[in-house]
Amino acid sequence: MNIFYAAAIAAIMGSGVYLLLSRHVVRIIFGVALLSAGTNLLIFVAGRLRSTQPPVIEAGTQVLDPLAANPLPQALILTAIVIGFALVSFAAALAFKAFQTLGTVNTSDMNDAEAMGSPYASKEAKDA
Amino acid sequence: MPFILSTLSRLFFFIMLAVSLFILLRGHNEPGGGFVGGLIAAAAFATLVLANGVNSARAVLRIHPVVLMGVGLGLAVLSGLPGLVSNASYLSHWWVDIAGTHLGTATVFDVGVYFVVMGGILCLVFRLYEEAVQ
Amino acid sequence: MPFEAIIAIALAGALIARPVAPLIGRWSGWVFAVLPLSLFVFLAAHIPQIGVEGVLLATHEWIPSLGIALGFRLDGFSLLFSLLITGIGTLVVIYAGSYFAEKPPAQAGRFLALILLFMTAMLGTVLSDDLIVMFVFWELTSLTSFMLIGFDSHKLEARKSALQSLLVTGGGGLALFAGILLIGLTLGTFSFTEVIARSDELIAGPYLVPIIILILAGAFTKSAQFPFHFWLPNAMAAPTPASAYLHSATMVKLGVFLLARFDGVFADVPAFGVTLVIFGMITMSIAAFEALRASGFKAVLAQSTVASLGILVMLIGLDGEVAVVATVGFIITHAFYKAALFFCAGTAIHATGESSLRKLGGLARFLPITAAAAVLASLSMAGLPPFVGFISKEYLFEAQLESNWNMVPVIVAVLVNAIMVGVAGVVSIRPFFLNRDRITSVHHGEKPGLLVGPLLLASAGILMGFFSQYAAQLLIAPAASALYGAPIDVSFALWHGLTPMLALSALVVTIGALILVFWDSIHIVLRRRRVLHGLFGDRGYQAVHDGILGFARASTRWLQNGDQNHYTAIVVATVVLVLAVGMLASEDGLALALSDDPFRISVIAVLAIAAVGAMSSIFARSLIAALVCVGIVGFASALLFMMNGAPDLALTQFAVETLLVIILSAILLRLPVRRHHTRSLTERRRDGFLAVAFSGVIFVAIVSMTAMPLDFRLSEYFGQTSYLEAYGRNVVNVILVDYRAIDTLGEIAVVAFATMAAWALLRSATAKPGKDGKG
Repeated sequence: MNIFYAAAIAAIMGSGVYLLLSRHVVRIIFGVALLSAGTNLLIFVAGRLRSTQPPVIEAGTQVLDPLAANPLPQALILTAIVIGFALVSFAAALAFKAFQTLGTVNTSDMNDAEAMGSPYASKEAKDA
Repeated sequence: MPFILSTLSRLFFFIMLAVSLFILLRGHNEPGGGFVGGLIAAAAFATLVLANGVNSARAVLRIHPVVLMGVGLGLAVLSGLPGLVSNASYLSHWWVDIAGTHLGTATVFDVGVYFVVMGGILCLVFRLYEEAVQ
Repeated sequence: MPFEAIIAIALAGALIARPVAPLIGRWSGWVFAVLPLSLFVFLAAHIPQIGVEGVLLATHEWIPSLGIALGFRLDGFSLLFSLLITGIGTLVVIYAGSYFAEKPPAQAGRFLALILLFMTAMLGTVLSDDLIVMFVFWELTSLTSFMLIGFDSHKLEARKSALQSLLVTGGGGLALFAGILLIGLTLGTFSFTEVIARSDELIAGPYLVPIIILILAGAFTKSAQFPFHFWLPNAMAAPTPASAYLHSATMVKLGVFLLARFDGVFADVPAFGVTLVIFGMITMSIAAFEALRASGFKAVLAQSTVASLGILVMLIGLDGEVAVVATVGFIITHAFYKAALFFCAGTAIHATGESSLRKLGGLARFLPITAAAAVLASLSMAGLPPFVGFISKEYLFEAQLESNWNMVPVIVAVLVNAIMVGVAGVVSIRPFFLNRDRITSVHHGEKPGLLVGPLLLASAGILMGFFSQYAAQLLIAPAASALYGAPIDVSFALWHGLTPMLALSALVVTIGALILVFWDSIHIVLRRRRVLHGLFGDRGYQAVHDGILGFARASTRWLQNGDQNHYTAIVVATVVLVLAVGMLASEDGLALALSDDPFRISVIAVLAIAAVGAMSSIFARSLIAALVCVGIVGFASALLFMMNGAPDLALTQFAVETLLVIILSAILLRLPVRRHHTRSLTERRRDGFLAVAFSGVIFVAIVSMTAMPLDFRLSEYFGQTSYLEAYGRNVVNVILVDYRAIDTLGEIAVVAFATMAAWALLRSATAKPGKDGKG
């Protein structure tokens, strides 16, 4: 089964990278979302998928059934999902604000800082 | 606003809020917990926003979502302090056994998580849908 | 011996000089000279003790965990250096006080502070026993030298030279540091005293060759030896008192100091001495030649200083008692006459505002005492009896004749010394006595403060010649014995009888006199050959310097071109490369194996949906469609969590996906939803290639990772203790709120801050919508 998981995760993360490389801010955000979804699955698979039984100690017993799923990666992913969500939301707010003030969703047009020129330019000119 | 959605939203809101509290509290022993609970609570308020607008949701929530986050972070931070007293390790939890049910500072911590997640998402939802009204 | 007190007093002087000196005004030089003078007297009082006991040690703990101690060591050699540092330091402080008298008082204060700080650093360097401590002070001398060369910071030339000296000596210092660390690695100690005692272990150790090369690099850069000889003449941009102190008498001798110290350690490594002799000879030849070409007063003196340093390095490389005595004797002699000549040059330049020898003349009319001091000093430099310079030159030739070398060093030494005689004549006779028509008036006359230094040093040269036996017993013998490692009986006398050395001295003086007579024609002929300057100048340094800057500029322009797509592409390409190389280079190789868990068609279907959804988001024509595709991936992964025993994750993922759609659709509704290409076809092809490469690496990584065994101990521990110790049956939740609670606390803080930032961002958007925007 590992090969199927690997293929699907590779496809998700590859698509995420392609979107991340775009200059369209919304597509960049989608890329971030796909990459974080892929990463979550990657951590999940790294913890080995050996069981369908949730890591919950059943009533009447005191220790976890050794046949239950690995709890550690689940705990890691749980916070990662929420943080990834906060990150995407923040990026979306940023993109929205940028569109409002600059009127563009293309990062190559968001060059106000670059248009000011190099901070060293004036010094270089003086020395030369 | 569509009348049916507006009416049903009240119902949905209460059901979802109840479910979120249930999930929060059972989280220590069954699937659930502060993160999921907070998300569902936020979704409950988002239903109100979609149906009746931000102002009605704000009126129901009463306090500011940023304050909610502050309360949540504060609870989480405070829940660790008792551990400092007992065995000098921050965030080691205390427990009381009441009639077979364990209650402890870990529950306080989880409630803190619940408030932070809920407040954070409501910040975004309120802001974005205030924009939409204008 | 209160070593710390010596350094603390010097440092305190440096710290108070800047605010206090301007308050004292024109007498500040005399007042502050009390400080180095008292140190000099205090140190001089220890001469008898050192003569008897040989060496004084003191150690305090500093960083015991790293084996670094605040260790100090005073033997004959470091005592000699300390006396030179404090003695000449006294004269320099007095001289500088008068030299800066007409300048703004704050400038004099700054200069005195730097000079005293430098003195502190020098004393620390020569008195340290711990090599790490010595290195710290060593670098401090480089830094103060940088600040003194660039003292006239409004001059481009001064700034350039300061930077050059810092890069060369600072870089050499780092090499020295590496060498010291290797010594520590071999011997487990940084104490120099122990290093000498266990030198055989060091020689047998694995790092001998790198240690020698690194120490040579440190010493050669500091003492301006070939191929780093170019920085010292450029350092003449410093105010003349600093040149006299740092760049002739003391700091540049630190390299010699270090080599002399380590000559004892590497006594059994013949290559060490041979290298020193060869590089010393090359340096002195180049410098003597350049001295003939130089036209500035200070430039000529600087080149002759480089030549003298070359002579010293060569002497250290030679074996035998005589060579050691010659080294010590020449260090003293050179410090005396060269500092005196620099003082005289400074007075002449100060008085006239001219620094070129070709424009100076007849200054003896205006500066008679300075002229007399210059003549006395240059007679010592020329090595004429009865000056001490004569004795040390005799020793130089004796050391060469006694060594196992052939006649080449002797011939080189004769020629270089002959040129030194010529230089001595040129710098004393020409500006002061010849060409009286060139200078008709001077801005400043002689002042007591400007005369004390040159007169004392120049007369010391002749006094030491007459009373050489005392100098030999008090200073030279202890220093030479400390270097030699055994007591040496020094007979430092003017008259040695009719020896081959006397004949060589006579030859040197004769050739030197000829050079003096024909100076102008030699000078003009040599200056026309520009090729030679290119060969011996700092062109190599310039090329390296400009090359590094050019490379930095070009790489910055390429890496940071302001295009976000470009940045991301570089990051992705780097990640792919690092992962690929890492996997290929791993010890286990790539274990591409299929896992043996049961085949589940439902899971494969969900995986396929996720993959198709992800890929469709690339091709979706509208952003809404792309959002739906991203949502599909999210829901599919929620299903996958559900199918693999992770209900917590499934719940969370479902809730998140729902909220994400609510939030993103609110934003997308107000953005242009039609997708348009933001990349050219070539860029899209490159990005596609990068994305496929990334997927490939991830695929191989996951397959080989899941084929390897996993350590489940941590998970098992959580599973076994979750209920018993933390009273929770949901292990995932217990990990979150209990075992890793502090981690979770940090994560909810991140959520809070990210959403608060978004809150603030969007608030300003509602407050003044589109006010300063274009859209």
